[in-house]
This record gives sequence, structure tokens and C-alpha cells, in this order.
Amino acid sequence: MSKGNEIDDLISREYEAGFVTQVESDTLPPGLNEEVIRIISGKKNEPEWMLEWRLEAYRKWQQMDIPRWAQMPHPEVDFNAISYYSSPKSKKNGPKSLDEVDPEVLATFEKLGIPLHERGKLAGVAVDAVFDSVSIGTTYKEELAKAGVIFCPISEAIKDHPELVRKYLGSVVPQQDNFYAALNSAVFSDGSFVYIPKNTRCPMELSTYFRINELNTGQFERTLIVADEGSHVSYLEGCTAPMRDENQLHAAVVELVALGDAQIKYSTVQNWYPGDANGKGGIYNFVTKRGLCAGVNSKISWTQVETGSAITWKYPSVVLRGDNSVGEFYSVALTNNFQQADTGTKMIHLGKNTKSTIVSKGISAGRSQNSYRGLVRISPRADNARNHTQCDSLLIGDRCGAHTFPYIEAKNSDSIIEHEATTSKVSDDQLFLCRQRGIDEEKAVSMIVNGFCKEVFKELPMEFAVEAGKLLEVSLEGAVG
Amino acid sequence: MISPNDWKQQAQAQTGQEHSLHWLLQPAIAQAAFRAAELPTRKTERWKYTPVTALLQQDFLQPAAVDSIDEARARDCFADLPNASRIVLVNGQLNRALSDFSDLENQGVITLFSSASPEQRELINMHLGTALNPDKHPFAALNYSNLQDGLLLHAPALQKLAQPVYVVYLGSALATPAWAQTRLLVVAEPGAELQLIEQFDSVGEQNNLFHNHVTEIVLQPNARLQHIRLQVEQEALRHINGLHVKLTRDSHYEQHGIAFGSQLKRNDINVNFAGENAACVLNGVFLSKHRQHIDNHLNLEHATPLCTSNTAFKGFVTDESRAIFNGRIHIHPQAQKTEAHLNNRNLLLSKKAELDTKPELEIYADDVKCSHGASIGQLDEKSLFYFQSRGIDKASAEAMLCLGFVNEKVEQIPSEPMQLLAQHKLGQFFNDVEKLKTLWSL
Repeated sequence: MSKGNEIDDLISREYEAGFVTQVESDTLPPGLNEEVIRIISGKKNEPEWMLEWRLEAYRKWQQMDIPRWAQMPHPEVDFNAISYYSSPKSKKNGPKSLDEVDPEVLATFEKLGIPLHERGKLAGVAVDAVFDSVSIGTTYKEELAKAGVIFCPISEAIKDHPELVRKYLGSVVPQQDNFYAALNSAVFSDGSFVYIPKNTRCPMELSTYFRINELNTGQFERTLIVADEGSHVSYLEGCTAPMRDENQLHAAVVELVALGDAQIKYSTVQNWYPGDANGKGGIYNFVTKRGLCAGVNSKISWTQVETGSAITWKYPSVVLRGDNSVGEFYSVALTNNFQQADTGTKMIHLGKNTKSTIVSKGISAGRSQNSYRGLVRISPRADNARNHTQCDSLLIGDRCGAHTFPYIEAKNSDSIIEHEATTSKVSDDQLFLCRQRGIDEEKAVSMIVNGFCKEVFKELPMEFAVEAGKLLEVSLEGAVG
Repeated sequence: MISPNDWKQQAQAQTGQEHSLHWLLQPAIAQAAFRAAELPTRKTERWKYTPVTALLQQDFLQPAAVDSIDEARARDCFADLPNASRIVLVNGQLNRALSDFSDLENQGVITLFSSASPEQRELINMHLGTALNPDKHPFAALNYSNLQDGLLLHAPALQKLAQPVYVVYLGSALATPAWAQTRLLVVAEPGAELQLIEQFDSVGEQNNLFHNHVTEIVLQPNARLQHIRLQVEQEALRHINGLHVKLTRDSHYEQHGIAFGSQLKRNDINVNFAGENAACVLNGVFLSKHRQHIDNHLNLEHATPLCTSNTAFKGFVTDESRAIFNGRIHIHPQAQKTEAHLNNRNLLLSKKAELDTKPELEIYADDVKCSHGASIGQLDEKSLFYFQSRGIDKASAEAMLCLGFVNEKVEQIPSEPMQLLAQHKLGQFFNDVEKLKTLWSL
């Protein structure tokens, strides 16, 4: 390829997942009231207790105020202008197997590179695909069932495994936890449920792929992962949405429970539509993610690559209740154009000998604002707790902002806590060195950024690491020069 | 007991009274700000860790009486600075008998607001309130609302003051709760150079004083100020302290502070960069024991290019006390080529103590070098072992390590008499800290 082509290629690249799929859909009219919640619950054939739980959450939500402490001005969201349920229309009562799914929908996922047939290039990863408000298919169900692993849409789990769902749903993120979590509890439509039985190592990576397609809808999915004693699971999450001028709301809740000696690794590559170069459109990504290390020696690890969304408001947290439990948070957050990200983590140390590691890399370009906001709390009985936090920010361009707000609260004198943060721009020396060796500026910046993020990328499963690297290049498009 | 609302009402009623300094412009502005201000609650982010409920229930609202003070005991507090100009305020009122600053007063370098000449009045009106945003600091607004008098330190252009200016704020024992509101305005003309020492101290036990103080510093181009601050009052005293600094082109500000906790102590340090190439160094150590409380709030507003700031604070927290450090670096979009570093290291020695630290970076310019760091830890096991392997018992080893931790900051104080005074005060402070007793009695 000649040099000219290469540059053209680079310039023409933009948000690749921004297409709309033409499918007939069954969408509720916009608005939220108890009736809407009853309809959603009815559509899912939910048991009575589930409906009660939703209504309870809705009543609490009505009493709550929109949180305004984050560093992100945005127009008010009109919660009555959103449709809370949308699903691709199917002739029968929902697809029984993947073969019956609307070919248009399957093609959508094909186009996004998500293999819903079990011999695809990413064979070996079990996928649950969520299209607007419903899960349209889950692969490798039989193989997982052999190992005793339950991996299914949460709507199915509510019917098939009510005892597990009742026990753990809301146990980490209670209904009234915060404004958006309460909203989600009331109207969540689908999401994934994972249960790994005792002493089981999940035979393959599990993955959920979220796709918003319909206009004026919000996506409210709920994910619940329970790792029983001595088990191990690695879970991946990806997401995209069409390019639209309207802002769309995504308010998800993810709950992780790790019992004794269990390990959960949760990786996210978040690539919601970020809005155009003038800040028009894009997804409001207001997500509550929290893990509970309930048992001794348990471990929860969050890895996230955040490149999309107009606004990201997200703090994947770990409550370290079990003694010797470990919490990890690795994050790359990249913002360009008019994107805003306010993200970070909370590590709540309750048990003895608990350890947490936080590595956060923020990259801001264009006119974006990127904040790290984190909390490390050592409770009085968390003897011998240990935390290390590293937050680095990279600035590209002189109109963006990078901020760090770490809260550190120590109530135990046996603990050791360290926090470090640096902010700088891409070094001129490094750029010069690259250009001297014939690497053009855009490529050089992308190399430097990739190097900057390496510490986090190495925590990602291989396929994701490759995708994440590519995403960064696309997102940084036009940020240099 | 009164309610916070009554407290505000009463405070407002008091400040609305006729002022003898009718020529001052600031009180009207501050009164409006205080009227509009909401007194901090637990939900106020800037006061998250420091509840003022108890303070606002206490009926302080009368100026402390100027009791006769035990002069010999008062003089015991002073550092041995024989040639320094000394200004002593007791419960907020100037005490001439203890003070000694006639030279500088005659030269017009130190002046009371109440005896300011027309030129000085103009100077005060020109600078007072320029380094301070009363909307963000309700207690400073209260202070300026009630401006009965104040101190002006006016350093002449292109001169280096040979001797330090030594200001001592003393609290004396009071039978009933009362407040003292003091303020110091420092204006350093272009090229001036000086050393300012502020000491907040007290005489006598059972101190019912609520001291609300504001120091405002304006450094003109090329001016240099070395500022030493000792806050070593008796622990029953409540003290809210605002330090607001404005730095213009090529000016240089350096601060060394030692602060003890008390029933309630709050230090706001606010540095505004208003000119290119200004530099600021903030060094401090805060210590708390028993059930003391100390809150340090630093805010560095980098609004101009090419400035540097270096902040290093250490904390020593033990018993059932609570200490807070909040250090914010704010780089405005136009403040390119800023270099700002902030560091907070803490020693947390007791299971019942609490330490909250929050270093913040808010950066809107790209060509900058910024960093912050914070750590909370205990005495290093290896160092303790090193001492013990050389025949020093554990208690002494611990004490020595603690002292070494604090002493680093004491040794940086650019005045030998002040180092000695600081060490003396630290000795008194450590005297009833279990871990350090052994060593101190050696």
C-alpha cells in the first residue's frame, strides 16, 4: 500500500458500528409509570415477587434526586421521553434457537464481528447477545451445562433459577443504591446471568454483547454473576450503538458475587456511540458496577477500556468483605471531541489482609473532559489492608481537561495506602524520536498511547486486547495536528 | 445551645453594626456574601470531613474581653528573635505592652487599620479582598463583615527588610465562650523582600475562644516572602484560619507551617497565580492526638502560564484524633507550561485514629507537568529492626522514627530561633503521646 492510501485510510476511519438495522420492532411508547413496569414484567412472564421488587425500586426511585456531583454538565434527561422496552418483532413467541432469530439481527452481530454461530473466528467464547431490550441468543449453552455452569439471559434465570436470583439480585447493588441503579431495578429488561458451581473453572470465556438499535429507547440491562466457592470465571462485555443525533440513555447494573476462594475477572470494552465531532448525539452511559468479595481468599478484577459514550459515569467497585480478598481495577478511559468521562473505582476494605490495586490511565483529546474519581476506604477492622493506586493522565491538545479526585479514608493504623498520579502531554522528545525514524505523527501518537496503556491492556483477554488497541486508534482520529 | 440558623442570624446582626472604619469598602461586600452563604453542613463537599455543628451551636457571639494577661507567661511563648518587630494580639486585640514594633510603625511598614493614613487607606481598599473569594469561604466572609480593625504590613519597593516581622496571636483563658476575629493584610511592593512569622498560641487552660483569622497576602512583581507559621494553641481552642495569597509576575512565596490539632482546627490555604513565572513552595506538617481534629484545605489556582508550585505536607495522627488533608491543583486553560507537584505523606499510629486525604488535580491545559501523591502508613519495620539490632529498645526506636518523620519539616524552617521554638513546642506535644514519652524523658 502506498503512503497516500494509508493516510486516506486513516482519515476515513470513524465510528464503524454506527449503522442502523432495519427490523420490525415491538417498542413501548415513551414514558414511565407503574403500568409500564407491569407491562415489562408481563412481557417477560415474570413471577409475582419480581414485579413487586421492581415496583418497590420504582417507588424508591421517585423519591430520589439526580446525582449532580460528577464533573459533567449535560442537558437534563427527560425520563418520560424514553421508551423503556423495545425488542425485535418475531413471528412466534420469541426465538427458540439461533436459527429462528431474524436474519437481519444475526447479520447485525455478524457485521459487528460477534460470532453467534459456534464455529466463528472467536470460537471458544460463549456469547449472550442483547439487542435493545432482549437477549436474542446464547451460544454454547449445552457445553456449559455439562460443566454445570449456568449462562443465560437474566429473564430466563428469573423463571428457571428463581432461588439463585432471589438470593443474589440486589445483594451487592441494592435497589435504592443510587438514582440510576434504582431506575434500572425498576425497568431492567434483560442482561446476563452467570452461576459457576463450586470448585469449577468455567471451560470458556463468557461474553455478553449489547447493542442499542431502536431510536428513543434506553437500554437498562442487568448482569448478575455468582461464583460459588473455589470457582473461576472470566467474563467479557462489549457494546455499540448506531450513530444518531439524539442522546440515548444506557443505565446498567452489574453485580458480582465471589464466594470463598472464587475468582471473577470482568472485562469491558465500552464503545457506545460517542457523538459526532461537534458533540451532537451519543450515549449517556450511567452505569453502576460493583463486586462483592464475600468469602475468604476471593478475588474480583475489573478491567475496562472506555472509548465510547458521550458521557461515561461509572465506578466499578469492590467490597472486600472476606479476609485475604483481593480487588483489582485496571482502566483505560479515552475521550475525544466533546466526550466526558467521570470514572474510577471504589475499594471498600472490610476484611483483614485485604489488598487492592488500582491502575487508571486517562487520555483526553479534543475538547473532552476526563476525570478519575476514586475512593479507598479502610474500615477499622480491616487489619493489614494494603492499597496501591496509580493514576496517569495524558493530554493531547490544549482544549481538553484531565482531572483526578481520589478520596482516601483510613481508619486502621495497620494499613498501608499509596496513591500516585501524574499528568503530562505526549512528550515532544518521544514524538521527535519516532518521526526521526520515519514514523508519521499520527502513528507515533498512537504508538505512544498504546505504550501508555500497556499496563492495562495486558490484563485483557487476547481478543479484546487487539480490539482495544484498534479502538484507541479510531477514537484518537483527528486528535493530532 | 443555639441552632446554626440562630448562629448565623446573630452573627449577621453583630456584623451589621456601625463600623468605626467607615472608609473600608470590604465589609459591605463580605456582608452580602455572608448573608448569601450557607453555613457548611456534612453535605458541603469542602467540609465533608469537618463537622461544624458543635461550633455553630455554641454561643460565641461576643468579642472576647481583653483580660489582663500574665505577661511573664505570655513572654514564655515567644521565640528568641531579639531584633524582630513583634506584634502581639491577645484575644484579637493589640497588646502594646507585649509588642515591640515602633520602628516599623514609624516607617509606615506596620499599621493598624484604625490609624491608617489616607494613602494607606487607599492601599488597603485597593488590595483587601483581592486574593479572597468570600463566596467560597463563609468564615472569611464573616471575618471581613465584622472589620473592627486589622493589621497592615506594607513592604516598601526594592527593599529587603533586615529583620523578620513576628506576629503573635495569643488566646487567654476565658470564663465564657467568645470569639476573636483577626486579619492581617500583607502587601509587598515590587521587588520587596521579607520574612513573616505568624504564631498562633495560647496562655492558660480551658480556652473557650473561637478564633477566626484571615491572612491575605499580595505579592507585587518580583516580591519575595518567606512565611513561617506555627499553630500551637492549647487544644480546647477552636480555630478557623484562612490564608489567601495572590502572586503576580516573578513573585516568590514560600511557606513553612507546623500545626497542632485542637477541638476544631481548619486551615484553608488558597494560592492564586495572577502573573507569569511566579513560584510557590508550601511545606507543612500537621499533628493530632487525643480527640483532636485538624483539617487542611489547600487550593492552588494556576491561572497564568509558566508558574511553578511545590507542595509537601506531612501528617502525624495518633490516639483518637482525626486529620484531613485536601490538596487541589487547578490548572486553568491558559496556564501552559505550569509545573505543579503535591505530596502528602502520613503516619497513622493508632487504631482509633482516622486520616482522610484527597489530593486533587484539575487540569485544563496540556503543556504541563503535574503530579500528586499521597501515602498512609506506619513506622517501617525494617528501620525498627535496624535500631533494635543495634541495641536500642523498640519504644525508643519508634519514638526516634516518629521524631525523624516530623523533624524533616522542622529542619526546613529558614530561621534557627523558630526551629528551636518549634522543637520546644513539639516536645510539649509529644510529652503525652505514649510512643514518644520514653524518648522525651531521656
